[in-house]
Amino acid sequence: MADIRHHIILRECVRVLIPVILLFALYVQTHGDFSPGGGFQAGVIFASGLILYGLVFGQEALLEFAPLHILARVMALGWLLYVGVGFACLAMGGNYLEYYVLNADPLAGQHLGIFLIELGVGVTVAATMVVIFICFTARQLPAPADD
Amino acid sequence: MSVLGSVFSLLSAGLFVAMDAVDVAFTEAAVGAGVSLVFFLAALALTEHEETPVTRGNVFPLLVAVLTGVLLIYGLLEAPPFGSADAPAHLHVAPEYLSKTEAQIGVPNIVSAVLASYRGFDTLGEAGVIFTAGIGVLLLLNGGLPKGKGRE
Amino acid sequence: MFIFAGIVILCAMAMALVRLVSGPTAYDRVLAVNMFGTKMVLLIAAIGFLTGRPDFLDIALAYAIINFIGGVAFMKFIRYWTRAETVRK
Repeated sequence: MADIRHHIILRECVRVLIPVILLFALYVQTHGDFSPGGGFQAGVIFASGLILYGLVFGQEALLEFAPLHILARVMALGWLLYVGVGFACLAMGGNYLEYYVLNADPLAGQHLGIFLIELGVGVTVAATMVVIFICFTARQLPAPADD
Repeated sequence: MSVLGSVFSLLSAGLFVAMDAVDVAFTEAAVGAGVSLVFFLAALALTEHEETPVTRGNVFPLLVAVLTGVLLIYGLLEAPPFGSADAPAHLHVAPEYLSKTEAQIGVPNIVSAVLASYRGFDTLGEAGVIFTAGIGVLLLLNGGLPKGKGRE
Repeated sequence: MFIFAGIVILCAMAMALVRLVSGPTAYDRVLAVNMFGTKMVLLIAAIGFLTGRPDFLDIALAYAIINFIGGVAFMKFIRYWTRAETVRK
């Protein structure tokens, strides 16, 4: 939508804000063990950053940054990471999703397992949210005329 | 239009209620107030703008709603008071989680520990559900996996 | 002191709610929702300090971000609707 190009205040604000949002999402993601939040919340916040980008700079800009076919693969990748951690535990002699075996020190193993799992959830959620947003807004009627 | 406003404020109220549970409040803030609002608006933009006028009387739906509310409140009377230590939910596995998380998992945020470690399978299923939802939306609204830049 | 702040914020939220319900135009409502969200951020922060749990600031931060995005989305779709309305007429 070309008409939003005129809204210079909104555009500049968003340009400053989006990196902050994405950084905050990463903070929530990696700090989930110690403070509220985790993969799901981080994924949603990350996705809302991208959605904001799409809202302000237009669908095309968002698709250029994150094409749908890549998003779909990222979506699958997150879940595969989760499943893969489970199988890694199996391969290293534990039960499915039993993280103790991931490291010589059981607690470090738990830490690693939880971190990877949260990462998988976050990646899946973020990609899914962006995909849903794109699919919902891509079907809209032709862009309204300039004002 | 006003419906949307009330939806938003209701979700804010939901966050308010969930205030005592930090993680739940976080989820409510991120999902309820933000993303679901955007999805709601996008879905509404896809639909017609005029409502179909309601022809049937709306006494019966009101009755059903009120009855459900009364039943739920009646059921709530039996529930233990908020925060009481001997509530059934606090007697089964919660003490074990609370006392042993530090030693078994070594993660300060017990909610994370329960979600990702003790209940790893549940969370696996949840991630699968979200993944499936994304695939479903992609297939339904986009006519198959898109090629190139995405659309058409 | 934080209790007093909390009460004042609640009063302000109530006033924003009044505007949200009665607001004559859509823009009044959007502004009311936005203000409600801001007050919510303040309230969360106040409660966080009241109960001595600064973790709540994380939630306040998330809420502030989300509130901004919600406002932008709201305005964008309102404009889209009014456009569609004029096109139809």
